[in-house]
Amino acid sequence: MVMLMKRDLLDILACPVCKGDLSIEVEEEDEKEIIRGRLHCEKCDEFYPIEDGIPNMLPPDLRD
Amino acid sequence: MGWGWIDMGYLEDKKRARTFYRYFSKIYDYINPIFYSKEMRDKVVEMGRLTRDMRVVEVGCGTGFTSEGIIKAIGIENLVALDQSIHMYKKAKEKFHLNFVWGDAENLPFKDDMFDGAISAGSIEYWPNPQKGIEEMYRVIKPGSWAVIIGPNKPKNTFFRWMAESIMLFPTVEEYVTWYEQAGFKDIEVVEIGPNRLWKRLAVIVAGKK
Repeated sequence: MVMLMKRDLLDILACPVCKGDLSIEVEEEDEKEIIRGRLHCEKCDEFYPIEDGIPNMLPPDLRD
Repeated sequence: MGWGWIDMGYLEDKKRARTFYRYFSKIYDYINPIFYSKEMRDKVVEMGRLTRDMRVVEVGCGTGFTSEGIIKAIGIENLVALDQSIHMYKKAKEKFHLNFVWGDAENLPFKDDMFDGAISAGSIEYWPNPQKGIEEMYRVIKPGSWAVIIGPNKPKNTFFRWMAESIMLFPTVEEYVTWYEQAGFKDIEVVEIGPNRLWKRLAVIVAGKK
């Protein structure tokens, strides 16, 4: 079993650009981890996707 | 201290570095031990003053060689590992299940004062702006905590220097220290280290306290 994104991680994550707080929209989770969803920075109006339990926190201009 | 290296290295473009690592990740674990030994890793962990249950961020976890050393000290659940290459991480995932965050060293996606330590091994040589990356490590650790970086040492031999600099960044000890000072670190410590007797000064470990 792969260790996926835990809810605990939310307490320490911030927007990589403005370092502001993030809100979360969960699409899929189990008892331990968030598997799919996205994090939202209200200030930057930017979304950071969570796929296969991995939060993609790259600044938008560095994504593929 | 010069800034001429900014235009020099092939891998300093982040997207190019990511493509490179996609392929490099396949052979990395065979090549890396030539330059980076367990003794070097243990020294990095020691200089970070890591103890059980500290929450630590590793900036540039790669395939997990240094993560393994950090985990031994603090426990796997307490490490948050970050890398800009998902392909390097997938190699790490074959060994153990890290708390992984896909992100950029110079734009850390963490709140201020979150960690009891920060470690970065063999990553700084790919950062286009090392000063910014070091400032980010400073920002995310708690006051009194240590941040440790190990990176390549500038070769003294002119030919090797030219060869090294044409692919990546090789800072001098003085550059490492200046970046740490400008980031605000105190009690800065420097160790020149290598994997064997011929390469005693291949790498530099820098540690500083917030």
